[in-house]
Amino acid sequence: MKDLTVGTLLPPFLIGPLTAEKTRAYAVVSGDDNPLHLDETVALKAGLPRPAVHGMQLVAFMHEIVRRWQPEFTVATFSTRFLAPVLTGETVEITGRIVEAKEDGGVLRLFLRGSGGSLAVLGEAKLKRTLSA
Amino acid sequence: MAGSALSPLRIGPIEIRVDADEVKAFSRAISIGKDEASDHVPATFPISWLSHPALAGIFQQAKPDGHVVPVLEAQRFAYDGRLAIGDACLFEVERSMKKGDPSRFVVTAAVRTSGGLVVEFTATYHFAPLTGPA
Repeated sequence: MKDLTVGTLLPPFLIGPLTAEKTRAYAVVSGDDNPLHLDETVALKAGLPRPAVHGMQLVAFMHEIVRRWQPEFTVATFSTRFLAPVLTGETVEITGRIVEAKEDGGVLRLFLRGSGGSLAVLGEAKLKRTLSA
Repeated sequence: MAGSALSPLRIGPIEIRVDADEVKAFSRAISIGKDEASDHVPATFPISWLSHPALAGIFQQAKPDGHVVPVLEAQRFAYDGRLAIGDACLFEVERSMKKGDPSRFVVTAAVRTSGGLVVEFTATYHFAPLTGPA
């Protein structure tokens, strides 16, 4: 049975490019048809050169990465703050680090950076050991 | 300006089922590569239920009106269990304004099964002005 250790790094994971087609696909399955994600004119009016990727799609990517990285643990809570938009066409890099470890779990801090390397999403996942592990 | 000073709103619980085809489509859209757990329900899947027709009121007044657009700025999921395909759920959603801040609103949702609470999530949005050149 593996324990979490403070300082352990989540291996960097690249996802992308997050094309407009992928954003449209997420809009369909999530039902989030906010034109900020789909309409270039609205994006321009909001001060963005291109539509923004859905924040919840980025959260979903982060969730999936954590699930696969630590299959012996489940996510008890997952919170994120969106610091900057990720635009369609960008490739994102997700990294992370265990910042707290206990016998039955720990805390993973997550960082999602856009193509330019600046931090776009800051996340924190509280992990709990699964009963079956 | 539509989309500001939204009235508090609570809808539900509505009955909803974890549908295999919807899970499959959702999983495809958030895929990060081959997944052996083909029957896995993604942790953020209940987000898709916010577009359920019975919940249209939650975002109706917050729809872009040519002047502002809602932008997600923070979210939090808290899990007490996992959803499985076929689960019968009760889904309840509440919308409130951020205290003292008419430019922000909060959507809180809870998913329950016969076994009790499975997940709660909270999303905070702010209204961004559409003032730039088109």
